[in-house]
Amino acid sequence: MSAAVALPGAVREQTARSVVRAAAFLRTGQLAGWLWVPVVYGLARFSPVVLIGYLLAIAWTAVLFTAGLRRNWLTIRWVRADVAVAVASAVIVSRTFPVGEAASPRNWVLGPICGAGVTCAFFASRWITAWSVGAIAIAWMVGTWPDIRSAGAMSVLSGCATILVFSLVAALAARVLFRAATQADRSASAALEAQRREAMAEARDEERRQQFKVLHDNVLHTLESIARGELGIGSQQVRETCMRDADYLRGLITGGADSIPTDLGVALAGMGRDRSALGLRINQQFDALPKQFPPHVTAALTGAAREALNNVVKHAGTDEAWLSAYGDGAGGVIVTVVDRGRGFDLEAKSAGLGLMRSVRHRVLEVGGNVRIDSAPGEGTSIEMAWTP
Amino acid sequence: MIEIGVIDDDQMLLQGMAAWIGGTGDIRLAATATSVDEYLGTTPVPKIVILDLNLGNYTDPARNVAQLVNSGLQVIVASVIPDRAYIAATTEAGAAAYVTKNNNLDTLADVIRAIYQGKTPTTPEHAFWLGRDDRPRRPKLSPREREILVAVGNGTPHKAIARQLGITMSTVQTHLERVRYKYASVGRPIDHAAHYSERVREDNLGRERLPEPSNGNPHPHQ
Repeated sequence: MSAAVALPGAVREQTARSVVRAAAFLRTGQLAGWLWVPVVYGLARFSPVVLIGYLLAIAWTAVLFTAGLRRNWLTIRWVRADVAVAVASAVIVSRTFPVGEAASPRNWVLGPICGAGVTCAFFASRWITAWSVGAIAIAWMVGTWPDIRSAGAMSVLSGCATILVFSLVAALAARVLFRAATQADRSASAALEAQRREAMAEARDEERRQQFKVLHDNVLHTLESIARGELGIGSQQVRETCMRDADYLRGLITGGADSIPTDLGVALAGMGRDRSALGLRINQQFDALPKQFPPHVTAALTGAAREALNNVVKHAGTDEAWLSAYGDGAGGVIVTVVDRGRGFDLEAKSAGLGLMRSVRHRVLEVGGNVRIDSAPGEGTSIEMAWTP
Repeated sequence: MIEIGVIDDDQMLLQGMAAWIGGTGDIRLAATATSVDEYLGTTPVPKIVILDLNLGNYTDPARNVAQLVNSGLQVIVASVIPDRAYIAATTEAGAAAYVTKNNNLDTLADVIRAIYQGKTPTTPEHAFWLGRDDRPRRPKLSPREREILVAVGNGTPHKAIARQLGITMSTVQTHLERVRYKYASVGRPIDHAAHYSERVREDNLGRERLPEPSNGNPHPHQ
């Protein structure tokens, strides 16, 4: 994967932006094309309806495409309004011309209403386009109908054909453009997905390498030492080491048949193993931990659990603790550290204060919650919950 | 002296077990076997038996438990690696307790003594995995029962749970017993092979490692 992959949907969005611009240019050109007409024939020759209509059409065009360019798309409401404006201008403006002039270049409406048909073809569905373009063509016919008996009869019909052909070509072009854009986006997001999968597979491999490294450093080392006869298996030290290694391995592979080691599970199991070296017997129970978990939260929860277990070693006066962790099914986890040691008085705010601070701080920092319960002679339980 | 038996496919474990259990003073390992049938063939059969959750001979754990329970024995299920679905299924089949094999002798001895006195002890690991039971046909527990199950599963001592919930320790015990009762009397006995395949269907267990035996004959390996 060399080139950076575009965001999904980017090509379609880009195409839409270009199409809005093209439609705006087209309409501006169609309106501007009439500017020379009053210059040549003289303003006085045109009725106020024609001139005011022209200015209103320019104003409407400005509003329409300002909205369109702002969101790089024309919604169906704008398209409908545009078609309505086209239909109205085609009828009202054309009817004010004397016979023989409505279907001539002296009438400005043909260009802009063609533009409305084209815009509709770009942004509306096939059926709405068909109806709208039909309505615009009929409006043109209605507006210029008095000319049908004059020399301009051909212009009435050719104007109608122009509307239909322009819109049809636009509809076909829009379909080709958007289909190509969608296709490009699809392959872009497929490439992105492939890249993501590759990265995930790499991360998994790295995770596995890490695990194997830990296995090698700890468990295999223990086994090999025993195999080579360097360690007598009856000794207390070896028994403790084996117990620790067994707990570590168990931490990696608990749960159902479907569970695979997760980052959080590995981190907690590794941390638990290190605490065991301090002479603490840790009962580890992990289940359904999220497979995708933010690394900084993993670090925070593992650190908080380490602090809690350190506290058991230092203050609880017991050699056994429970470390449990399970997923809540919605991407969050609950980690608990429980001992059955001395405990402390929550009200007294003495022995437990440091513990609360160091554990709570780490968990709150990543947006989690901590619940601490303790009473003299009843042990201490710390529950850390984190939800995404 | 309490006499117990052990069913496990690990010969090394069986050999070391007698001396280990003997360390308690009041419990004696009187019989060992590598399969349920072999165990039931010994005379006399010790009434309390520790059964390996996965015997490695392609028999179903729940069925093994049912077979032993139907012979009037008290079964303690033990496993190296906990498997949520099997722990729930063996509990339903009537197992008296579940322990992990890494438990120290004191814990196991306490469980054995409690069973000998006719109790149904729920160890933290047992509570933890029952609390994680997500099978569609699991027994319906009340919120309070679940709360207690989860707390016990986290290793919280009963005394602390009683204080937190403002109830007595015996009420905590009653709730746990009710949970176990719900599991045991979920109305789905496993008395023979036909029942067994029904339960499998109901639980929707993905049994890739342990193919379903037909007419009680375990499938040979491959």
